Amino acid sequence: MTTPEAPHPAIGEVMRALDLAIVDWLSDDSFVPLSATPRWFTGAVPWASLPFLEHFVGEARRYLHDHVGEVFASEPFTVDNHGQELLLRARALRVNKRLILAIERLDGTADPRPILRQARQDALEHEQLADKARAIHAPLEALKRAVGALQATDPGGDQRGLIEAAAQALATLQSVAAGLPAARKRR
Amino acid sequence: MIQKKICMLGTFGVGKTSLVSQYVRSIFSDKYLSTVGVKVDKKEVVVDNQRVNLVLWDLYGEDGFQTIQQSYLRGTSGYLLVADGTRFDTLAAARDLQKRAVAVVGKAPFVLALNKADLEAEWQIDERTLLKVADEGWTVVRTSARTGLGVQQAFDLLTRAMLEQP
Repeated sequence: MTTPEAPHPAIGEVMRALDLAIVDWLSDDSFVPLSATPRWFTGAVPWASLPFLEHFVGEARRYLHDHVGEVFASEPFTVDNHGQELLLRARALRVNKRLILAIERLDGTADPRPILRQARQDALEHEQLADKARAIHAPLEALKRAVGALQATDPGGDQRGLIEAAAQALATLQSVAAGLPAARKRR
Repeated sequence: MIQKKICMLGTFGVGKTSLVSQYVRSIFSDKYLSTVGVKVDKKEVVVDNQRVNLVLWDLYGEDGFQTIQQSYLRGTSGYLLVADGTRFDTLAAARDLQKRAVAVVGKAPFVLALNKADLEAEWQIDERTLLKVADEGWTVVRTSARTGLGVQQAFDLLTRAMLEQP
């Protein structure tokens, strides 16, 4: 049997470089850092009474009670640290009956916000476009009926030319409208 | 002091974060920063001579990219449903979320905030639809996170309703 080794002094620096805070979460909802923590962790955030972490720890305790050896992960959550918005994710696991939390900062490529924000912005613009399409379709139908009625008459030479020009313009508008998003069905 | 948890529920882009920001910090930003994950804010208020600490859970707007974890609703004393008056479908989304909230928290008080009242000329949700919603017993408040209109009122109504709960 080997005796447990003391953590290598470099581990703390590695954790800090990885933006990872590892803490032992105690039963009284206080905690003890197990290594050097990143600078953002030592800021003004009241970690022990952070409502999201309180919730997460409760869920983690329940989950890990029934799922020995597994890791319970949170969704991203945001905290304000001196006016700076930090996006974080927590993971919890049991080690020798202790609840260990790894709180990681998501930034750079790990931060899903820019992609999600762009996707939602695009979805909003698509919705607006679909609404405009809905607004175009009704007058276009009315125009189609009017041009059809005019074509059914027996117009004179000049008028026939104007009606044909209107019919061609209508055909162009219809082909443009066909490329617009389908009008959404209201729920 | 009494503490009450409030969840902000609504589809994406309806202005949940802006409402919280207006209510807690009196700030509105034109920049749309869709919420990813969960943000929790606190605000201490006095309603009918009672000091109440409101814990506001601003949950990301549900869409095809993220689905709300129902566990976030546990322990909720009340919730603010948010719809965007300029987007008709956001009301249907609010109705869906209300049903799901009932399944988790039961008959907790809620208020429907119809946001973007400053863009009323562009509204797709008409008076008749609103009357129908009110007929179902829903409390509806027109809000504008931009101007602050109705924001305080919506949260006050919700806080009172939560305090009246046994």
